[in-house]
Amino acid sequence: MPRDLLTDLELMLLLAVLRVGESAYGVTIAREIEQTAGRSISIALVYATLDRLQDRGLVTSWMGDPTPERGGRAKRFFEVTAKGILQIKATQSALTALWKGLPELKGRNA
Amino acid sequence: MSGASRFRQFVLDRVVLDPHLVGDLWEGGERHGMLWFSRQMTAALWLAGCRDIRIHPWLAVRAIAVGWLTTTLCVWAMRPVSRLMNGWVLDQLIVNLGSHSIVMLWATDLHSFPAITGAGVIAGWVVGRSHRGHAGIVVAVTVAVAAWSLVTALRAALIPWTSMPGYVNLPSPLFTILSRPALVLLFMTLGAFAGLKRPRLV
Repeated sequence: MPRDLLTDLELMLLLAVLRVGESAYGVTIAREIEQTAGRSISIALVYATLDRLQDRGLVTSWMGDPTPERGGRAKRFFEVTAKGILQIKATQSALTALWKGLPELKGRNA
Repeated sequence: MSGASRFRQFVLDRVVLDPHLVGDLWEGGERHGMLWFSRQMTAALWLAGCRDIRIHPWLAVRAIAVGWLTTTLCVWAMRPVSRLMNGWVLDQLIVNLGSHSIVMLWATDLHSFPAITGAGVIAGWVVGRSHRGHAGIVVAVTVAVAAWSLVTALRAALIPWTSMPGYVNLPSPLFTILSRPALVLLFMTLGAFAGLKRPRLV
């Protein structure tokens, strides 16, 4: 049965949400990806992708309290669900399987 | 409040995006500055436009029709202005400047600019006001009308070269091709921003 694997952006976002932890919202997720993976990403794209992942049940979100430094707007926090963790592991296994046995990639930390 | 903060407030007051995204753009804009804010805002409007068009395709079609119709009506209504610019004003320029290059530029392009800017502002305002909840669609309409203007500008750019062969001081057709869509884009965006303004919630 074919597995529904994550795209590279979805995988990056889920890993960033896991890395940031409790304070995972648009700004911190985008910053984590930029600092750790070196990829610049727009905050609107973060939300658009996480909305799609939420529809698939891979993340949940909730609204925080409005704060004055954000012009009185609340933050939307994200958390990876158990189904999301399983999906990350499935994608990791698929990628690792593809990785194995390739002489071109031996001895490289790609 | 600094100038940059006022600009951010001006933009965010007019563009309907998800409140948490607006909060993030506000917070990030304070930290990263105008370039970051402009890049993020462009991406947010682009994605909002794609989402709106996907979810409300008929609304997008209606908005484009409204934009096109309003622009056409405004250009038609402003014909007396264009006639004045291409008649009496052009005569005065010829009498005073002869065949100076600015006169040729006026005859081929500049005389139409007041009508184009007026039509752009009014059409942008009408589209913005009638689609206040869908800033992305308004952006799509502005781009569509500017593209249509590019097509008409391509046609207009060829007229002086075919109807006035051998004339000296004819402006480059590139000016006609680029200036008209650029004017439409700029003034329609300004009109749209004015029309998108929402009443402030207390």
